[in-house]
Amino acid sequence: MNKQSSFIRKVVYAGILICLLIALAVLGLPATYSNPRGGTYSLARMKVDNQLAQSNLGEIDPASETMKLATLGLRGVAVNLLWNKADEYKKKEDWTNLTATLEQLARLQPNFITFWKYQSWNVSYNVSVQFDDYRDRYYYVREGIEFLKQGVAKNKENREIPQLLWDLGWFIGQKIGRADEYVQYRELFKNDDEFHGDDVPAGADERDNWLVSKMEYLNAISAVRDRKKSIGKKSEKIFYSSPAKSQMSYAEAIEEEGQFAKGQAAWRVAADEWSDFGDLEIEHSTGRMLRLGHEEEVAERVEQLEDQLADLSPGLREKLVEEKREALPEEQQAALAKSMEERNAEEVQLAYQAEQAIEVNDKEFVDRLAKEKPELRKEAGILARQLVEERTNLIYTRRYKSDANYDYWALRAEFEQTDTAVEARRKMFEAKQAFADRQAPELAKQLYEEGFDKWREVLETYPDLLDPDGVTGDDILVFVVDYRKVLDSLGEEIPDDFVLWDVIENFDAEGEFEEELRHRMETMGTSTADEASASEEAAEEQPAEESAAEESSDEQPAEPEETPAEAEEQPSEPEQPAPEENPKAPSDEESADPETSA
Amino acid sequence: MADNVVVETRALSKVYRDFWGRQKVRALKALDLEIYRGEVFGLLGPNGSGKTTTIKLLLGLLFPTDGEALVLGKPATDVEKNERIGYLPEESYLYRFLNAEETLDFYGRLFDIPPEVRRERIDKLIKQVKLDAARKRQLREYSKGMTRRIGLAQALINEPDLILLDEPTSGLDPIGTREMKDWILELRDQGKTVVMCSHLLADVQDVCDRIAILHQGELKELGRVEDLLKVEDVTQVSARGLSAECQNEIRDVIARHNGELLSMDNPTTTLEELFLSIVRDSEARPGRRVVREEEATPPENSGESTEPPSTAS
Amino acid sequence: MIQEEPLLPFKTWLLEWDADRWGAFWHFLLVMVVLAMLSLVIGLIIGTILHGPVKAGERAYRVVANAFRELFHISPRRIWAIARVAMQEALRRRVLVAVAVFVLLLLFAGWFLKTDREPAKLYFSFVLTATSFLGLFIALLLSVFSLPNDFKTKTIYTVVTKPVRAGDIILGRILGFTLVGSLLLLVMGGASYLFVSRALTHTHTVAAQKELPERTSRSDGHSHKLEVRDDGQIIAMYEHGHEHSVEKRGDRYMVSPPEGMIRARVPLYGELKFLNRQGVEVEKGVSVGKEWGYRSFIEGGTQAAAVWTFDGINEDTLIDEGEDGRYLPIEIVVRVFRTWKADINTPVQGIIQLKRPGSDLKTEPEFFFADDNTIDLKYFPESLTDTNNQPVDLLEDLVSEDGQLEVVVQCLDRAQYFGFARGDCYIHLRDASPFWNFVKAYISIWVQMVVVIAIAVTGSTVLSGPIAMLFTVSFILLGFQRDFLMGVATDKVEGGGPIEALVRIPTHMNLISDFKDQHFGIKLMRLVDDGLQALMQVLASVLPDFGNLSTADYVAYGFDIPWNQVLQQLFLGGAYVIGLAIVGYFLLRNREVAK
Repeated sequence: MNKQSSFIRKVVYAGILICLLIALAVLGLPATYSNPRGGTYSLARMKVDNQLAQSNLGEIDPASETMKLATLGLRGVAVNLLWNKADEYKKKEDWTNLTATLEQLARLQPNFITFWKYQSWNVSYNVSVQFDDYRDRYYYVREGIEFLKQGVAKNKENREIPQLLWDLGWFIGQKIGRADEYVQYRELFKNDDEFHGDDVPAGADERDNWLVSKMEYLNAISAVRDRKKSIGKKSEKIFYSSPAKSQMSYAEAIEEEGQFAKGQAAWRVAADEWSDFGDLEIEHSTGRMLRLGHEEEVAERVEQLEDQLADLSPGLREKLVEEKREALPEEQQAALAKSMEERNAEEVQLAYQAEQAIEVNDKEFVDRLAKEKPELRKEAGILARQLVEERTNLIYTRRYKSDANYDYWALRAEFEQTDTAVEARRKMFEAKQAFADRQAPELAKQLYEEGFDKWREVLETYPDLLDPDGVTGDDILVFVVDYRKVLDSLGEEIPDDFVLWDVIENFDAEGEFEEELRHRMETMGTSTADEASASEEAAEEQPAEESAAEESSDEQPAEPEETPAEAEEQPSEPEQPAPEENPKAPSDEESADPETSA
Repeated sequence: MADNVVVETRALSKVYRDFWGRQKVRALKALDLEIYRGEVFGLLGPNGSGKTTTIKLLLGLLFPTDGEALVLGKPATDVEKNERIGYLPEESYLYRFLNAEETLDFYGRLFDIPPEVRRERIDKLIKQVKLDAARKRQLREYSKGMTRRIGLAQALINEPDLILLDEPTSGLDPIGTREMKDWILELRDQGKTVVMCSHLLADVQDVCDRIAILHQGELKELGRVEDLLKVEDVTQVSARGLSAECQNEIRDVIARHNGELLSMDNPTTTLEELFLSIVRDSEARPGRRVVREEEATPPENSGESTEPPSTAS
Repeated sequence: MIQEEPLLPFKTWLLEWDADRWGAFWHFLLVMVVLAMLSLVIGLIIGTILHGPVKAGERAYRVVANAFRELFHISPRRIWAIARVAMQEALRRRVLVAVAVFVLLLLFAGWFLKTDREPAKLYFSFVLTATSFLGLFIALLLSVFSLPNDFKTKTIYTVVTKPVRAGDIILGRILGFTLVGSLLLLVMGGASYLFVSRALTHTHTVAAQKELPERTSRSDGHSHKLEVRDDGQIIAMYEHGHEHSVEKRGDRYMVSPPEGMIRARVPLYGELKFLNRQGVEVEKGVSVGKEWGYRSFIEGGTQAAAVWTFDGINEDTLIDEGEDGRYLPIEIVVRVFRTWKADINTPVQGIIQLKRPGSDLKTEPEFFFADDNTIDLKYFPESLTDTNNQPVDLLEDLVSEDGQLEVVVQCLDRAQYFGFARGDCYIHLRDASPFWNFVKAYISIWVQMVVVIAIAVTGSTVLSGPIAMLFTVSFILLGFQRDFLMGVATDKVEGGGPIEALVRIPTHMNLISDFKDQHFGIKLMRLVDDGLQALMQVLASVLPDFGNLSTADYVAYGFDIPWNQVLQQLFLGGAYVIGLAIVGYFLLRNREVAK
């Protein structure tokens, strides 16, 4: 009987073994040539799907593998030590050893994205500035870029590759194109045979740093769109607008260097790309999909819905407003009754409160409607919900647009294509050349004045260009500064009939023209006072008008009468005329976007 | 301490403690022992009785928990006494990557023996222990017997006065055992003191003058071998050339004196003797032996002198 | 060359003491005495617990008396015998593997090393680091398993039962392993030098055309600008740490191998002081906010200046430039800091003058453009003019009677700064042999190795093999981090003592912020930390400063290692060997050999 139980036991064990073996075989099916993703349930497939396999992620480097093995399981410790050493070397300004240590680290943790981001930034931005000679600085900026390229090569299939690609675009674009020594950097970059290799021949346009940057941005977008990689925490509006922005920077840069024909063409391309960007569906942080270029449509829809809603019961809204008004306390009513100019300070305050109080929002409207006409309740409810939806979309769209400064750039791309603008810029360029290179101040002055006339034309056609969030005002001011230099050399001053006084007044952030302005105020004397009052009335119109920017009046016209009352916040700062006259610094394309800082 | 006392222990105890200081094993309990110059002293006992511990304590390899051990007048832990002693360990505790010459040379240097003297002694010793053929071979290639021999050689490199042997004959074949016993006796004849511990009773009986028997760390018996083993009331007579009548007469004499005749027959030689003689002959004349009777030579019985015949056990 | 701590003259280092530091000799003595006292006290306490006070005292006396007696019986012959066996043991083991690994490393070094703007620095750094790591590691492996192995296989029995003193065993082993290690270092050193020479050798081609081309071909990641000197010599300009000379042979140009890549400058350093903006003497200049306080800065366009005082200027310090006469070869490294970019095409300007100490006699200011962070040659001829345009002689007028001379450097551009440290200006006396410099660097590695062996052997007297290895490795690692350890122990490093750090880590507190409420637990923690920090201080003062023992920087930067430094290191190594041997002796002597 013992023998039998022993035999049964053996059979049972064998059975368990076989089951386990089968399971193992299924799980362990390797990826073969004909079946590159492994069996259906295999670990190999999971590896591929979750992108855990080294070989899936990018290049495999035998030196890297060797080094990792050589750490005998203490890779984490070794990496820790090496990071510490790298910090030490940076502190002690030992650049040779720093780069050597980074190379070692690159071998030990090639798939750790943050490492590449951090250290390439470190080299390009922190190490490069330690050098006095700009050539040395460029060398290290390029080292950082090369380092980042290495990281990209090793992580092609990594889920987070778009971040590295975008950073690559940023470095090549921003660091080279917007540095203080950008003229020299761009030059060095164009002549950098080592960097471009044989693919891009010397002298080709493709060597321009902005175009290379644009290419990298496009790679990043393609990685997200086509290969389903993750955009990470990057802001979509920044991410997707980057190529177009690079294109614009390119156009700007080559026009600055005097290539106007190319520049004009480039602006055309830029305009197209910008409107393409406007057509893109961008995910808002709440998950909604927005299209920045389609604000009008959304606004139209809102209007439509409002009308529809109002049509359900015409006049109801006004009735509600009246009811509320009557319910107001005495003084507020009285204050409200007066016209704006007649109110004293207290009354202004009261009137404001009153206006807030008598606002009728949709909910109240719908409730009232439902009470009065219950059969329309359902329809009203639907409309109200849609209205809320669209209003929110509108607000978000507007916000995002203002974050990306969408309108300004669209306008900019548009106006830069015009011949007038090109002429204006050409005049500026020639004037500068005349003054700096050829020492012909008279000629320079003449050219400047011709150019400024052209500028005036442009500004007339596109008044929105003087939006304080845009850079055109600052750009023009730079020209004016140069113009003043020319005048100084001739012993003259800015004439009173200078066509761009308004620009000076509104964009003189550094106070360089204080004296001139003061002088002008005195001479103008009463005429400015007249202008001030005239501007006050104009201020009640769309404050985005250029004239509102003229005199910085202390009185803020009350806004709430513009837009239908909403419980949500008012559309924010950009609609206020700029008492704070600091236009954003010209080096920021994306104004005030915290997500772009690294 | 008297001049001829080579080793003296007074209440020597050893307790093995574990890491935390608790007692684990009482290996030796208050041993009192004296060993005199020029004798062969045997420490007997079953496994775990404390004989190896005693040897190690005498050598200074262990420190006593209580009591003291004096070797050649100095405390056992004193390194200076090592000049005059030699130690043959049970296993080969020698560097296996050295050959015989290098080993002896190394230990010779440790005694600060000048080079010429060293060379001389090395030669002598190697020949003495019959390792001439293998003097250039590394120790890792030696057989057990050869290892024991080289061990003995290193124990004698400094011509010591006191030699300590730990299980000298264990694991050896009869020839090796015989050789070892001969060497021990030779050493005794040279005036050296030999202390050996063993559990092979026969070997101890053959060579030792005095023995101590240990059991569970305590001394159970101490004294001269002859005295201990002498059976008081039995007389043994070995005689040659006795005719049958003579034998009968002797029988009568004994009966007359009221003695008890225990046995009268031909004594047996030892198996060891037989074995050795066969091996000796075999080496002298290789080839199969034919018939034993013709060539059987009775062993040399030279009366009461050197080799006491074994009493059948 | 970066010299964070100035090299003290030998006698000062050894014997003198002041508030900050003890002379090395006294330090050693102090440590030994304290250690002896401590072990005595601890031994007595343990002995009293186990055996009662009388016996403990007896035992302690015996141990000490024995030690003194046996000291006189240490025999060189025995030591040599043990050393020989140790060597034989080592050679039969892993040593050759080390050489194989090293050679492999060198062969594949190209994978790890990128061509760089300073290749000599990189290669020397690499080779010396690799050697020292491998050398130390092998020495460690060999020595740490030897004694424990003897104990395990009981071969120690046959040794200890001979009249061998414990001191013989310790010293013999240290000697044996040192010899093997030295052999290893020799082989590695030879291979390294060959490797570096070969790796740095390269050449360029110059296009064969009538007119001299602008640049050479690209090779090793760089190319040189070509220039013709006044004497007709063609030079491939200094780039990536070296230059070439070019010879025109018929139609073709032959480019020489790199020159000046490997060198060993012998510098004469001076004392540095600063003048602030008002011209008042101060000890340190201005800080521009760098984390590393090695250099301090002077402001441009003011009276701020950096003044070096050199001693011992005489005929010998001048060098001969042939027909040009004799020069005082001053070399200076300037670190430029701009507060605004100004014209980026123009370097910042400065002036350099020679001054007689104690008087106002100065030479006419020599203008120079600062070449950031590179060595600039400022050679002053013998005959100069002073600020009043009168001729002065360098040796007679500017150098004071006791052979002192001052070098004054100022920055000219307003709002720009020059940064200096003591080692940034020196007189380039001559060039020593780079090969011997390399050898001296190897002596430093040798000293490190000896210390490691001593630690390993001492540790292995009572510990088993792997534990002894851990012990030694910890010793070494802590030695490398000695400064940090001292910093934590003396509260110079932020973040409190060990326990506090242990609390901060999981609670994600940063180093600088303090705990919110200072309740009792915090106080207790701080108290315990104080105790631990005292222990750490004791430990840190005993640890070998491995960082200091490395002279790889000298070779990498191309400076001669002064014999003073080598001597100091040898003494340091010797001190460790002696101290550890004594400790090892006591440990070995008083342990039970048998189990």
